[in-house]
Amino acid sequence: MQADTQLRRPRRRRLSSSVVAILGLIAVFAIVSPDFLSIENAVSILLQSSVLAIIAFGMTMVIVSGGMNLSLGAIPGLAGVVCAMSLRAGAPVGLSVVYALGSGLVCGAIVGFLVGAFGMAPFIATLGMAGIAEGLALALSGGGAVFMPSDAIQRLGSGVFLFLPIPVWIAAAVFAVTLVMLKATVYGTYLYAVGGNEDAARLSGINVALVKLTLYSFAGLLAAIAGLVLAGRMNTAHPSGAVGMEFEAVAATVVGGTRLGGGRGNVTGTVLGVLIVSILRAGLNMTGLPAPWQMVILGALITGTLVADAMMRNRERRYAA
Amino acid sequence: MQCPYLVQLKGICKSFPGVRALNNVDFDLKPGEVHVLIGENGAGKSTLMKILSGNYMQDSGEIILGGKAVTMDSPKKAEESGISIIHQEFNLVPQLTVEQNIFLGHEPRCKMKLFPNRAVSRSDAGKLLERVGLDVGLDERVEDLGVAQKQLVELAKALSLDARVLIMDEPTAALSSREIESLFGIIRQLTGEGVGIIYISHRLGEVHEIGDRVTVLRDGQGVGTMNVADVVLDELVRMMVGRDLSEMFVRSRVPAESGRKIVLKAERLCVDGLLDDISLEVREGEIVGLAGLVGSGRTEFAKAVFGVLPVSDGHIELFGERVTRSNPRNLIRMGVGLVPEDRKDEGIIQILSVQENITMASLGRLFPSGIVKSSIERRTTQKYVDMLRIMTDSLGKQVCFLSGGNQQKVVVGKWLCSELRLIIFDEPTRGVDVGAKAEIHRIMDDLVRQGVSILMISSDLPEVLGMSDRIYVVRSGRTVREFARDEASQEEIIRHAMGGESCAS
Repeated sequence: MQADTQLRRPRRRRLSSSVVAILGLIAVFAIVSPDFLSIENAVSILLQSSVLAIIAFGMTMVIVSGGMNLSLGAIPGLAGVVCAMSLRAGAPVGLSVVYALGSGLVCGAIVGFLVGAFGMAPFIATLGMAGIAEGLALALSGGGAVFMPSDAIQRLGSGVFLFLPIPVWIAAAVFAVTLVMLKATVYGTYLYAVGGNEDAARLSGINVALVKLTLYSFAGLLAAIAGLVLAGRMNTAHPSGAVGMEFEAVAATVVGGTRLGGGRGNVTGTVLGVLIVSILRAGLNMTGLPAPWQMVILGALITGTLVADAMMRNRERRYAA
Repeated sequence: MQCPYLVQLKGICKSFPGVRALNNVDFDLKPGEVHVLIGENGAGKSTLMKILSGNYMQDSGEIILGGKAVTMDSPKKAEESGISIIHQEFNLVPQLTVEQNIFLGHEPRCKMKLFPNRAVSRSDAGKLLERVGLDVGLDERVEDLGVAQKQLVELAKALSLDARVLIMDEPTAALSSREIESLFGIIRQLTGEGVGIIYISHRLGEVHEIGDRVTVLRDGQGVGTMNVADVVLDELVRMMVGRDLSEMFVRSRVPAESGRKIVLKAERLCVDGLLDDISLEVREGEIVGLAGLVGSGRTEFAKAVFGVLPVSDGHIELFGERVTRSNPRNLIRMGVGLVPEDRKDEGIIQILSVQENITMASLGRLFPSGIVKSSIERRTTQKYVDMLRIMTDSLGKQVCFLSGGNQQKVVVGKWLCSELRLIIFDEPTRGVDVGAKAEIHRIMDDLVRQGVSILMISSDLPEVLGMSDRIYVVRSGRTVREFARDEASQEEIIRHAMGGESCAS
């Protein structure tokens, strides 16, 4: 065996490159706009990151398993609207929250069932679900934003606890849960296994369909939580409030070192990815660049990271000889 | 009284739509023996083992474990009964660690069930690695291991289930001679512990080396079970195919003197970290064998010629011209084809038809206008299907439904169709049965007679010796020795491939 000159694959990307990118961005924006370094700005960036972060943690788990979930940008809108409509119909806050979370869970479970039991391509199944969820949200709300008549929900989005906005704490809690799930539980190992080699996972006695069903359900649940936080922050439920955020979540995940195609990645990297996206967005805002051009730049960043990901995978495939 | 058999299969029958896969097959296994199961592809070996391991249900017949008849209705049930199967294609998750792979699906867990019990799995995994003689870290990722090491991880995984019956499906297909030796050592140790091993193989030489008993299957029927000590090789081959051993290698001609045109010339070719001075020549109408251990740089050389790996020093000449920019498209245009080692991933497109696969590399040549005429395409394909005797019921059949040997012929057909002058074969007969192997050798022989040149990479020494006009031995990325056809012997090749160390066996 010693005679084998086994080929070593290129080094994996380190978290440090993300940290360097963040520091670089901060430096650039600090020069362009001195206000950028203020504490208020830092807190506001964290606040703005939190909804994206909650969605992106679910996305990371899905991508680790070799899947994709494009419905995670539509579910928050649906969950927000369900909660608002239920409150307006006179239901208590607790029940309304349960309905909202339930709506995300059910959307996720349906997708998980289609992907797990029928072997449907996640891209297609979740694209379909994105349309259904956004459509439902629009139908329920009558097509526009709905006022959120609850102090509790508003506090969820705008309250402060121990110097930090509550959404930041929620995102931190979700981070902790997903971190432990991926790193320390048997279930987490199964996600990597399914993403790395689904056949091997199946032959090892893992119930792959069940893993996928629970995974997509959980991602849907997280998206619903994100939806409540978003609605609380705005005081209103927007049926399409988070649409488009699924792509930002994919970008943040990939920037954070999780590889499309599965088997590799972690949520710690995703935190950094989310920060990069949010800092870029906030910084661009402060430069006074017109909004459409900001969209172009963000879009280019997302595309760029996906290109980089594809190049890394090509290189690995070549070296995997 | 204790039953002398671990496993008895009695009168097993299994039919699939349109095919009778197994007809009244008997098979048994005693503790501590290696029972070799041989037969051509499609003879029913895999089906029989899938029934024993709970992947299929038999139509009729009995499975008896330790004297008791059981219904083997799921892989889980087989696992619980102490039956483990090591698959031919690796079933490991490359991104997970050695430890995680060993216990995947049956992790020792803490009381809460949610978390793995790392302390237990670590110490158990350490013991298992020691038992299979694998010296790697528990936290190494499987993707960073060599083929032989992966195989041992599979073995450790099987043992972690307390397997009393171990089914090994062609375990040596991807191993070099020395790695095979160490695997055999482990097998002997396991049988010493009372484990029964069912050993499926295409390599007849291994039957005598490792087997205690051997059962031959042909066309879904048991042809016979014998003690290995009582049979000779020729007899086994005859039982398998009803043909004589002399048909195994059909190399019919010894080529004329040198002075023929040089087709491929590599001079001091280097690839960073992989190849360190490969120099060789292939002449027109010659079969040149490239021998060496797995990982010695043979496949990497083929990939460097094809431009898939970057050349860092030295150069390649093709048909007398120095190659500056090699990429697969250029090389195919120049008339060079590669029949890769990994046909499933690199040679064929599984879900496309025989016809689409065969014409894939030559559509541009056949249809310069860019419009595919199906009648011509069909006629062309038919020609190669006939020439290569590809067994398929239609040209439109998806390649994934063909047997391994026939898939390999499709890859060959693809290159023949594009009218090549030099073909590089990487392990041309790995994982194909004896009959198909002889066919592929016949095809190679035909090709060189027509003036095509062949560079053949192979770990199968009898194949290298039987087919090659000249042989180069590669070790650690260098060509260390060239042999003329009659100078070479298995011992000499092994000695040079391993660097003059004594060949421990």
